[in-house]
Amino acid sequence: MNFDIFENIGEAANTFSKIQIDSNELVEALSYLKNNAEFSLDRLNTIIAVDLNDKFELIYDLHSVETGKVARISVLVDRNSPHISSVVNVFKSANFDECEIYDMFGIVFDKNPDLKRLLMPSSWIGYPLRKDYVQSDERLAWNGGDND
Amino acid sequence: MDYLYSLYIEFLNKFNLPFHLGDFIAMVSFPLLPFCIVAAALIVIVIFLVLMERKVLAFFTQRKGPNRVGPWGLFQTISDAIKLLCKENITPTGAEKFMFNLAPLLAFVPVMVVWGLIPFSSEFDFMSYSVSALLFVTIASIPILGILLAGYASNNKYSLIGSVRAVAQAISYELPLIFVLLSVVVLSSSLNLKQIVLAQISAYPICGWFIFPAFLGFLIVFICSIAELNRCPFDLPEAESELVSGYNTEYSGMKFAFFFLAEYAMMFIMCAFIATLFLGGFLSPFGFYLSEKLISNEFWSNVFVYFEQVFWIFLKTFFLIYCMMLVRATLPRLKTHQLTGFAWKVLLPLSFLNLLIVCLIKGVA
Amino acid sequence: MTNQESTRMKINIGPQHPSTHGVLRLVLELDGEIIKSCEPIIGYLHRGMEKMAENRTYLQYLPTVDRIDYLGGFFNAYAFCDAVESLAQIEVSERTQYIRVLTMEMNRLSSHLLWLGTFMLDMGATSPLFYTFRDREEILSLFEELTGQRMMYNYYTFGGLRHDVTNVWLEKITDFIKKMPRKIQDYENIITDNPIFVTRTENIGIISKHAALQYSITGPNLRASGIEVDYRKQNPYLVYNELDFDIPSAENGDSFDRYTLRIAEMYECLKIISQCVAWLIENPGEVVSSVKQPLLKVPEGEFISNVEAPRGVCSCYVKSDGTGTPYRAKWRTGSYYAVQILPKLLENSFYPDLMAIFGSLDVILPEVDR
Repeated sequence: MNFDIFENIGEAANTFSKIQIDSNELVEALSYLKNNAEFSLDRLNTIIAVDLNDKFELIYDLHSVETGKVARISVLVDRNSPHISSVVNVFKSANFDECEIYDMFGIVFDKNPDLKRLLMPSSWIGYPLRKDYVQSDERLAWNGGDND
Repeated sequence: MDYLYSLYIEFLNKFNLPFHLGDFIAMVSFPLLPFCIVAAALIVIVIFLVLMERKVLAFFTQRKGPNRVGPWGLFQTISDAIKLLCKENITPTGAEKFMFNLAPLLAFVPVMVVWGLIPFSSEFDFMSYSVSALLFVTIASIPILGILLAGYASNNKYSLIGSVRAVAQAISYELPLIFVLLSVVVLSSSLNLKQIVLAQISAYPICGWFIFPAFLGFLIVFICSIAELNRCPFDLPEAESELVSGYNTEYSGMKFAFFFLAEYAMMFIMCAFIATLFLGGFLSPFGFYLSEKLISNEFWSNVFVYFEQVFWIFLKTFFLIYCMMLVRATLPRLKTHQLTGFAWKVLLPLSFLNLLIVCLIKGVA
Repeated sequence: MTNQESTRMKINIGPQHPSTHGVLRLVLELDGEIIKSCEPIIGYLHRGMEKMAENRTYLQYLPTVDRIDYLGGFFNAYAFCDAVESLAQIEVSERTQYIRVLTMEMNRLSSHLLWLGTFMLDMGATSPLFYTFRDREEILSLFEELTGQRMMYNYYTFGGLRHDVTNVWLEKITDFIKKMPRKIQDYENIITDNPIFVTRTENIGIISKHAALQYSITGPNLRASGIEVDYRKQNPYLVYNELDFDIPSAENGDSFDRYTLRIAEMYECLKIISQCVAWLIENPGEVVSSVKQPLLKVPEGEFISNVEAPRGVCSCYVKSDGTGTPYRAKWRTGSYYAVQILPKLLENSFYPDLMAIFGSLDVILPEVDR
């Protein structure tokens, strides 16, 4: 992939700039940013998921402990079949983030070792943080004592 | 004790009962009276001790402790006991009923037995055997069986872990205790507790007390008795933050009260035992008894001397109890292998060292 | 193989427990006294903080934000205010910034005091809890005098504060911080050299530098592992670049280092507080915001604000679509990642170490579950 798009990383602190990449270049880009000595963005602060009404957007917030630079990598995910590859092999902290995004938005992270609902009970139906989520009576009914 | 017995028989024979009934009544009823006194004293002292612990811990943390029920909160424990009596008697399903109900008894009854062994005054020792000290240590290990049964019979994983830890701890901390007891026997040439106390009489008031030649032993016995009682810093079996309540998680109501009271009664009697062995028991630290000097009437001063002896041993015991509470308020908890490591690697060699020192002192002096 | 499996015991440290610092559920597999595996189950305190933002105006959402980490309410409020102020280009006066720093550092001090008391309680020492709570009580009553609330302050507004601080209040703070160093020294005297405490926490729960970065650990836990990163120095916000303070750090990353680091941070808090108070007494100014809060419409855009909270870095992402309600708010909190690294730290450690490790990580469950 073309790494020139990462040239301006770490500039003004009071602005917000994100770099858009393709979803199939995600793991490569994050590994590059982590291992490259110029950026050394070695800490994944968080993964933010946003429901833009026709697609999902994932923002990977990367921080560097040495230089203090930050970078935001944005990836778009199709709403009808929301799949994207997991970055757990690059940053172990992504595990909880990805489970929570699966829980809240329904985005499936391929190759995540243990994708499960984190905050909602495991028998919950529906993805709460989606814009079209409606809480129906079925989901609120107590379904017989699942312990989770 | 024999003198009192003969007085009692003389008193009964004044009534001229037929068929030597007076002797028979004396033989049967004489042991009952000390037993009743001990039982009553145990209840009152334990009630007082529970309140004392709460008050002392509160003062260490700049609080006041219970002060609503009665003046200075004196009736707090009584209201706690009434509350515990009124609770529902729950036995969890799946628990071994017989052992579950037996465990509190095993924890409490030996403590009552052991109360009679300590000589509270030179006349009031109605269970005086030539091997009293050894008997004391033996009977004092029976409550641990009760703890083991409680944990096993509860059908609860937390209780099981707690009781297993308690047994490991009790076994480890018995041995230094016994070796230090051996050193005291070397100093006093007898296992009878009253003889041990009398061996601490000397020309100068306090110098005969065994704490001076066996100071290391005193510290070891103090630490071991805290461990035997499962008190902080050795309270891993009842670690609240990890196991909820350890072996007595499933107990409620009067059965829980048994465990609770057994711990405090044991604390008192262990401290009395330490006071007997090292601090001169019922001997006065002045060398003479105050009632001999203060009371002019000879008959009454002779009687009051016995009460004064009880007063002295109680004073020493409560001082040791206060030290135990101070230790509880200050220190964090020891870990499992830290605990057993400490007993086997530190206390046991030190108790051997203590025995060596005591033998040398006895040989020289 | 079956023999090995049968000696293992599965224990559930339930959501209700005297010391999981909240409703965390841990399913442990024990082999005797050794923990073989641990699975944390969270979500018992999930209140839907992020979804709530989408249905409320900015001003309506602001008081809710204090409750994400109730021990550090000012930090969350500042993170949200900063994000909105950056998006809406609202200027904040210098006096406001100094007061924000002052309140945040006092909040950090009270949070660390509570942590110290509960950590010692988990270890088994029951007395330090009362003493640290006594000190924390003074801070809380100072806050009550200022904002009317002991914990959920609702004091910051977009562009300023609700009202100014008085010099009387600042004098009280001066008296308070005069006697604090002596008290923290008292705690150190009884805890730091205690052999029982040292044996229980030294070389326990070591987080290596690599693991800390991989698991995105931040805050005192990261600094205890030897990586000296503090957002107050690295990417200074508010007036931290004008204040004189140090960043303590340690080397080994074990529980004992995390303890000594937080004690050192308490001293640094006192330094910052005294400098802020000195500045505030001399420089009066305006703090009330000129923005009409209920009608605030934030222009389109998105922003992430980072705050160095007592438990780690707290980041708030706000995406606005030009209306009066946020389109999306996302919170990133420090304890979330501490819970994630917990199973790795507990592998093959003893059962009593569970409390020594978990207590030293300073996890607060509302922050984890949001």
